[in-house]
Amino acid sequence: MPDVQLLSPKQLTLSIQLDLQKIQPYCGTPIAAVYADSLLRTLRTIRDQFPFEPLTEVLMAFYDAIAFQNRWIDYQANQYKEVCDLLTTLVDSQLSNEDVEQAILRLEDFGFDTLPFGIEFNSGIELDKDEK
Amino acid sequence: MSRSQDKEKALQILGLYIKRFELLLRKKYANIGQDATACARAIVPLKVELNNLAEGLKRFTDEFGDVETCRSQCKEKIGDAVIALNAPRQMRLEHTDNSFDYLCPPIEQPHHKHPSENQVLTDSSG
Repeated sequence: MPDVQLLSPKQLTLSIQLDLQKIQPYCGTPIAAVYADSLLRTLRTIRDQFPFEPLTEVLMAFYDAIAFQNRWIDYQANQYKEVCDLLTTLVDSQLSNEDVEQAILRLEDFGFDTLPFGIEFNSGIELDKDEK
Repeated sequence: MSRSQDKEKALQILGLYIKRFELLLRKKYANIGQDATACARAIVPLKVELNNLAEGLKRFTDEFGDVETCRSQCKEKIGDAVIALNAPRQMRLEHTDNSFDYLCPPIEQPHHKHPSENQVLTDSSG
């Protein structure tokens, strides 16, 4: 049996950051798929191995945004950079629920749709019209 | 999704999604306008822990579905609504409560708001 050593959440997050850096020059090209695949696999690993870590909640919001309908294709280099920088501020911190909420809202601010499954806020609502 | 552990995993993912949905709903709809009814049900908080999502979600549905408690907190406002609806339209409803400022205009009930006792005392002492 090979000796399998589990990586820590911090090590996995660093791996995610590395892929986020590598994907940036290749956004919009087929090579980006290599790093996107690695990114998605690592995100699933952290979800499966550390489901109760506060950072996992943030990473799952990012995962949903890029995994659904292969939307990782559509996001731009600057957006991946912003996620990478955000993770730098989170990885060594003891995250409170408020920190997690703020981080997810930051992802939304960066343009990531963290609720991609058939829900669209701010659409189809005509606030100025009376009900008929 | 073929192993027994997968159900736990799926529930965990679903719980995270519900929690995120509530967060974005709460933060993105910052301006909900005037809530004249002050419905107690609308302020039931969703508080869930990652290691026990089911308990937090159940507590939320229990509190949200607790009609008796919610109604007990809305009682006064519902009473105001009944008063406004029952008032004769050819008469003017005299009141001190703010709620009638919201309840009367939509039903075209003439009304006049008087200063509250506290306001009168404040004005007279000033």
